Amino acid sequence: MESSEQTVTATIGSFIDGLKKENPLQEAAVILVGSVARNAATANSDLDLLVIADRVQITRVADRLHIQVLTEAEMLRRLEAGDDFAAWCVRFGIPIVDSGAWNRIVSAPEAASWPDWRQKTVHAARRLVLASDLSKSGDQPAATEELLYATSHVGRAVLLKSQVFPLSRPEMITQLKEAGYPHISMILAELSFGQITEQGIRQAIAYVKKLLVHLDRAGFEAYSQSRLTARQRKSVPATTVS
Amino acid sequence: MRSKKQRTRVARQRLRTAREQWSQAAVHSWEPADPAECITKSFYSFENALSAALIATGRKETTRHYEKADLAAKLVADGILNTNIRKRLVELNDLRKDVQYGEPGAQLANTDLDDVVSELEAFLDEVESVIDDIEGK
Repeated sequence: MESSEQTVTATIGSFIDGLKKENPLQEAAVILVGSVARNAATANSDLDLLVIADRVQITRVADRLHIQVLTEAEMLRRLEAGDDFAAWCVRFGIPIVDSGAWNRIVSAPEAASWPDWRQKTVHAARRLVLASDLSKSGDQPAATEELLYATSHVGRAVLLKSQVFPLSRPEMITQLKEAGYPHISMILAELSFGQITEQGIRQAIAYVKKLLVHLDRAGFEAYSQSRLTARQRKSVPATTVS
Repeated sequence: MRSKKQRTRVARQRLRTAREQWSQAAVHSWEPADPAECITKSFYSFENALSAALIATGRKETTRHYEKADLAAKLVADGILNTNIRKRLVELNDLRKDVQYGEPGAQLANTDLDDVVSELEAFLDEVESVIDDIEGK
């Protein structure tokens, strides 16, 4: 039987073979990112690759392989704007193919910038509203998943604000606990390992909302207001996170 | 083991959730559109509709997204459904993940939301027919 390490190596190998066949890769880079790059993957983790290229034809070689494509200029713009995914990639990404583009990115001054934690609160608010909607409609598995995303975003915001760089999601459980946020760490663990009840989901939504408002009241209210305005324009009753 | 009546009751309940999610996805496809919310709600709606078909026909469900996509193809191979949503499920799951990372990518901006919502509506009707047939309507 193949080990998961062998499967990862084989999947990456066949992806790169396909990529080389269909594209001239003189200026491209392929970077292993996510929990697999941190050696912290769980049974539910995807294999995440970042492709840096101007124009590229991608062939899917496995369902659990998730590819994010960005140009070198987009990557630098994201770093400058305080995007934490881009910042994560330059800190922990493992280059598998690099014809120079990745080296230029990690050597650029933008690569040293600290991500803007406020961006995470906006993403968290969006996912939290989705989780709340899904929970109200009785779809608890979907609500759990969206709540996991919302909690991860809030956790990242909290850590970035405390000058701790968030690692992969499984590792953040320990990071949050050590940074003095045991409750959000516990919620993240319960959501990650599927041990949360329906009542637990409702309580977690309320807690994450409270933490979000505490972190960035203005950002949360701005998001809620923009959502309300969009719904009013469509004459749809507004939903709130309760 | 569930009786046919129990199976179709649970399947209808699941289909109702799927229709509610479709209705919300449709609203988010209108201008000013919210592509991220539209594709996320559509994804869950497709999955719930698929689960409804699996439950109604007495098949085992799964919680893993990629296994659900495989089961979607299996239902077509078994002659239960005509529409194979496997590719659509994998695509929506990818788009959803792009959104999860932060800023939605170019692929999401290029996705035709009307197409997704229309395709979903037709799929919901197809699953409803499957349940109707099992109930002998």
